[in-house]
Amino acid sequence: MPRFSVPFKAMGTPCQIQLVAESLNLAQTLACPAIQTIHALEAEYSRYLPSSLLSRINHSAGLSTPVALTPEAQTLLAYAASVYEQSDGLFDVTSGVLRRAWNFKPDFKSSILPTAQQLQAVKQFMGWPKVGWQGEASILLPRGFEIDFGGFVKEYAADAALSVLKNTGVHEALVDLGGDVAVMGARWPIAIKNPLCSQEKILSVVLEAGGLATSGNYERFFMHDGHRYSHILNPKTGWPVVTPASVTVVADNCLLAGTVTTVAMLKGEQACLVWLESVGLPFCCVFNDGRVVSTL
Amino acid sequence: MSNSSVSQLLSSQQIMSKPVQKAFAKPSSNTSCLMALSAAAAALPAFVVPAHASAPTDTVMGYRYSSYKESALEPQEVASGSMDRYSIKVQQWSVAVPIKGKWLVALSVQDETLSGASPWYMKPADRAVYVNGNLTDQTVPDYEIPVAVMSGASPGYEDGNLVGIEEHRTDASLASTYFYPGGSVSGNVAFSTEDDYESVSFGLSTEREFDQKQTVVAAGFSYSDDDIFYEDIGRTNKRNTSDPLPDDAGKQNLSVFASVSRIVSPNAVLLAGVSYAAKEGHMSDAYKLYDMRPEEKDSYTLNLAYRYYQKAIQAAWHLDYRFYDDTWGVQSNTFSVALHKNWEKLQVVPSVRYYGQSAASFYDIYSLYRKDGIPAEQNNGTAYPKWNYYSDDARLSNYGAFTFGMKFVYKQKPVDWVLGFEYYIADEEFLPGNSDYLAHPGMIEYTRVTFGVDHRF
Repeated sequence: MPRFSVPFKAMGTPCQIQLVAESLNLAQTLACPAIQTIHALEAEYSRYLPSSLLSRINHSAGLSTPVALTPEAQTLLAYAASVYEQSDGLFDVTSGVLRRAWNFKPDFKSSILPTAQQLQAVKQFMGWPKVGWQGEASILLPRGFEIDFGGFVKEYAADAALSVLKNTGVHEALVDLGGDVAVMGARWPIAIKNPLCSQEKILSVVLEAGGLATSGNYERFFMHDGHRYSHILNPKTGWPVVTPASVTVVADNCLLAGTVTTVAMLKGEQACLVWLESVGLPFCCVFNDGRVVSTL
Repeated sequence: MSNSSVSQLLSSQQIMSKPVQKAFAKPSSNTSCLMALSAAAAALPAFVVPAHASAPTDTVMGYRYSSYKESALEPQEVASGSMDRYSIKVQQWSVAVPIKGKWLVALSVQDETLSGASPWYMKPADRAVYVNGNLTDQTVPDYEIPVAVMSGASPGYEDGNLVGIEEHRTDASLASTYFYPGGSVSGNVAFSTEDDYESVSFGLSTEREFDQKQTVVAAGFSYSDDDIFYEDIGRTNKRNTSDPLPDDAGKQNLSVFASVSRIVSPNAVLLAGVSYAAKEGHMSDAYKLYDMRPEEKDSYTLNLAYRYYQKAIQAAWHLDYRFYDDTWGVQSNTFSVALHKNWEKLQVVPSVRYYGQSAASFYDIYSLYRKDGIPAEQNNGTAYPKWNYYSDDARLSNYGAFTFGMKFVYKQKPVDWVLGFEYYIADEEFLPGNSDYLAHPGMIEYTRVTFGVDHRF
């Protein structure tokens, strides 16, 4: 049977589901519940949609009534808490407030840097341990706090979509949410772009089951003092990180792959290899000078 | 977490000016950080597939050898016969094959050899009688000191002595499970055969997930039919003269269960279950001389299980409680705690279990007097009224027991090595408030060593 690609848009990025079916029509029908799952996750965890659970949590910060969590949100938060611990506090769902000080614009100029006082003022409204959440079925953020699942919800959505496909009886499928990929059941070739020259691919891997995720600074960065700064902010310094050009990781699922790449980016150009090697998953890291370290 | 793996990774298109450095080619996913993240991710609904609700993908061939040995009795506890008790060796071969991701078919064959002796009946120790300070050849029974007359259960006398038991049993079972989105249905049949015993059983069960897989409800039933027959009636009568086996001896057992498990937090699962069993038929112990049990028994069981993953020590606690009540008057409570701790490829599972039960209403350590009853004047002043049912089986008395276990599993793909140790000791005094109870010398103490290997394909 042939493989069909069903393209769609979700979470602000072009996406596709590839699966084996008798016809394109059937492929679209089979993909439908999985796409709905992705939209449902977006509706639940988007920080832009005022009706989302995440927005309700953020809007209740500093009030008196905790917001009830769904079992899924509870496990996602527990996951985030675990990543916070494992990344020594680099991966912090409360760090989004730093954007208030940085106010990145597409035409960013290096002259508009925040002052140390501005950063300090914002940093009092962040820090995951200050939330004091211990796995409860509800959450109440301190005043001025915000949380953001942007660091992993897209990856999780890829896994969730794959799981829905599996439950509907599909055996061979690929879910690609803007480079966050989850596959099962067959040998799926996946090409990874060269971050320094987006027309070229740097690597192609064949994945039979599991997830692959890539993070790069090639889409959003600015130059300052000759360094290529990303829009990724270190929650400890409050400053953007000089990241490698891109990091790709392969794992049992897309969520895990995405988490490891995200933390690698946060570790920065200097420390990312130590992190990647300590985790022990296959990776490909491209540095800004074109150097490539790959275990793929 | 799925068993997915990176199958083959083709490194190509080395467009970069500098060559790709090879650090290592295979994923060696064993770091504690990765394990912690994997464990946290595993709780998410996209990955949570409750233990039985999704078809396994691996074919597993397994072998187990276990050696069970009961401690010997002390000389002063035995009136006559062997002090050695049962020793059982079990070999088991199994294979489980997934078919098309929807079926799992499992076949298991077990071969069991039992040898040794067991208490045939209990009697008061004989106390020597002194007359004017001189030892006589008379004795009186001392009811405070029960002693065991040991029997080889199988069969009878040889050169005037009770011989030891030597039995050989073979079991075979076939189970099949069908998995569908959100649930499964299983069926199984099993056959068991011994020299003088045959059993057939079958069962059906089903599982269904609800509430985004947060809740799993299961229910099922099983039925077994045992036939007991003896070719040598003479030997039979030697074993149990009080309730000799009829020609068509047999028993049937019907049991039903229902359970619900629920993910109560990202790190915890709670399970509650109830079951009911009805037994009917010849249940008297054929290895005991004075043993006459009711032909019916209904029992009720309540199970509670709690599984908790404790992040700080990266290990899972398994806490279990069971309450059991039956129409023979036995009530029991079982508490067990096990810790599943992984170090890289090694899993270590220490465990401890406490069991405490109240005696069956027809238990009497001197059931030899209950068969026909004996008036006080014929029994040194102690009357024993006749009972309809009686047994001196230690397993029907008031007692408590501890089991200490240690299991090691070493997973070196594609093979899992299993090594287990278990020590069990039962005693009347382990039951609170039971210290004045007459101690039964036949209380069991055993050690069991298990070795196994599973190969996955």
